[in-house]
Amino acid sequence: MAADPRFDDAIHAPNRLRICGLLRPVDSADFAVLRSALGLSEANLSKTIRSLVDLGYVRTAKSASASRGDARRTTTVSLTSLGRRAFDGHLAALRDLAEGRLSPSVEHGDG
Amino acid sequence: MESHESPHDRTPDAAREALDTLNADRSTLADHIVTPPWFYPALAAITTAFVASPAAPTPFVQSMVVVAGSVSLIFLVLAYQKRTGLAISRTAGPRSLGVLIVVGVAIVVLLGLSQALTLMGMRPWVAAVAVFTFVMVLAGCRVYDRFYDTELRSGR
Repeated sequence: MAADPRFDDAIHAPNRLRICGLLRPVDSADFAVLRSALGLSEANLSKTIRSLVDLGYVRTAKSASASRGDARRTTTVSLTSLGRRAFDGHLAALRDLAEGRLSPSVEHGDG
Repeated sequence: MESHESPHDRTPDAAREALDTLNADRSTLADHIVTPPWFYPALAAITTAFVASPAAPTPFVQSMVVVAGSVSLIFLVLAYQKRTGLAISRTAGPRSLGVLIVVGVAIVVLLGLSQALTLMGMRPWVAAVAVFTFVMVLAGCRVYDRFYDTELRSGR
C-alpha cells in the first residue's frame, strides 16, 4: 500500500535521508556497511545516527563480532516502525513535489 | 556537515535531486548484496533434507534430520549476515515476493508428495522428489536474486 505524502523536515537533511533510504529495504545493516555506502567519516555517521535514534526513527544494537581482531563490538543499525512510516511518507512527498503534485509552499506534517 | 535544509529546499529540483541520490544509494546497496556462491546450494541442500525427511527409516531419524536442518538454516542465515553485514528478510517488490510464494508453495507440495510416497511404500521415489527439490530451489533462488536486484535498484 502506498504511503500518504508527508514531508518530514527531520529526515530531509541529506545524510539522514540517505541512511533511512539504505535501511528501508533491509532489517538491519552494520555500521561499516553504512559508512562505506555513504562515504562518511565515522564521527559524522555516528552523530547522524544518534540524531535519528533521538527522533525514534532508528535503533542500534551492539554485538560481539568474531570477524574483528580487536575487542570492539559490531554496531548494527535498523529503522524503527516509526522511521519506516516517516521515510515512506517523506519519499511519497518528494515524488509528489518532483512531479508537481505538491506545492513547495504547502506544509505537510512537519515535525 | 549535517544540517536541516530550509523550506526553500522544497522545490521540485531539490526533490528530484534527493530522489536521484536515493536511487544511487539503492544501486550501491544492490551492488553490496552479492549472495555468496555457497549460499543457495546450501539452502537447497537443507530444504531437500526437510522434503526427504519422511522417508527416514524411523521417526527418531526424521526428527534428527528436521532438527539438524533447522540448526543449519540458522547458521546459514548468520553466516550470510556476517558476510554481507546486512540482515534481510523482506522482498524488494511484487515479483521477488511472487517467486518466494511459488517456491514456498512448491516446497510444501513436494513435502506432501514425499510423505504420500512413503506411506504408499514407494520410498525409493522420494529420491527423485529430493533431486527435483534441490534443482527447483536452486533455480528458484537464482530467479529470486535476479528479481530482487532489479526491484531494489528500481525502488520497486
